[in-house]
Amino acid sequence: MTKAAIEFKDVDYTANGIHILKRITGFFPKGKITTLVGPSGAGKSSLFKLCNGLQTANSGQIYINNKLIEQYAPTVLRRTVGIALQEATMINGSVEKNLALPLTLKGEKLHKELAIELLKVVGLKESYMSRNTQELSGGQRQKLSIARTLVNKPQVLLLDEITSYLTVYPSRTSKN
Amino acid sequence: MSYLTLSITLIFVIIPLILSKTFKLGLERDTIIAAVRSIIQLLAVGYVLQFVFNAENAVYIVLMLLLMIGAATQNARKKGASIKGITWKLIVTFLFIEILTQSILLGLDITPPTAQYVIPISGMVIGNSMVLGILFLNRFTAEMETRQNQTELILSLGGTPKQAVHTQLITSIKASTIPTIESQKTIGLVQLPGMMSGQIIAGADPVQAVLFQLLILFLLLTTAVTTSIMLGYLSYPTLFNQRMQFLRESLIRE
Repeated sequence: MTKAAIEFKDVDYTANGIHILKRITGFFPKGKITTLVGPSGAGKSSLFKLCNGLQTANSGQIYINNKLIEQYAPTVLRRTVGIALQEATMINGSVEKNLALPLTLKGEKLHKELAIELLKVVGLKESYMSRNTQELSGGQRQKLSIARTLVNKPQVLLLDEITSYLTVYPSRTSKN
Repeated sequence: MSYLTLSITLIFVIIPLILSKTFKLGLERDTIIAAVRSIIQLLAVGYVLQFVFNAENAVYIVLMLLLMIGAATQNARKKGASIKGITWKLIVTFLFIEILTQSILLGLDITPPTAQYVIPISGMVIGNSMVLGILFLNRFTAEMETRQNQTELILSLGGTPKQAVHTQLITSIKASTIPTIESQKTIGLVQLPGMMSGQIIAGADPVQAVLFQLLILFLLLTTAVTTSIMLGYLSYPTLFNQRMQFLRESLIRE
């Protein structure tokens, strides 16, 4: 049994008549940072969405922690495999409201200490908490998007083109 | 009013035709079609109603109601957005509203169970429901289209489809029902409602006409809110599959 966080076996994915992923086989090891590199349209985002359960492969198998993806309830899978999407979409409102979103969806509240800690992890100041997300720059939104994904305490974290708006990527701070 | 008098009223059709021609508005064809269709449809309905009223048979009343629901469904389906299985969703909504309103009206003895009352009131309720349905569906699909990323975001964080469409549903329900509620706030101040005006012209006591009009207005409030909520909750599940994945392609307009 491999120590894989995510494992792919012959994964094929087609969307809107375009064959995006062809027979993908391999794995992302546990406890490591793996970077996927490829040109625009190569299928990196699609692969992430398959892992998070936002899309389903046409054929092949995907295992998360050695368990077949279909064996997870969709909501459990998405909390286990967190994804910070490329668009860094925000809901209308403050940074705090966005940060609390994963817990709001579960009917829980976000403690202020945790919120401050998460903002710190991604390099955002505590004073940002009450700001409207419309006031944030693209880079700040992406940082907030990562912090928001971390609220669910995912076992696997997928960051989709997450540095595209960051002028200088603070690699250590973000990855930790 | 005689047919001769009615024919004189065609002046009101000729005026817009002349204006359209003069100002090159290009509305002549549609104006003529609208006038001819309304004459044929309303006269036909008049004779059918006369027959149903005289027959005093519940079967004819039910048939008339089904015909109304069928026509409303057909129209809303064509003008409304393309959501999978929208036809039966509209039928269920219209049937539910019709049964709900008539049960209250007849059950509490507010109106008598005769064709003369049941059919016109049902016409207003179903007609209003149809317009609300079209308004709701168009707004809802537009909201879903513009907020696709938000829908996906909420799903990606472990939210359910219901949570993912909550904002879109509430916005669309409000947007489609606000015109009904707002128009009722100024009613009587700006214009007299059609049914009330009709009754007064036909010689009814104005206060009685007002009482009936109020009944209709209250009915339309129920119709407006119920239509939007029912259509919303019947429609949104078809935008997702069993794995709680958002089916973007289900929003593609024909």
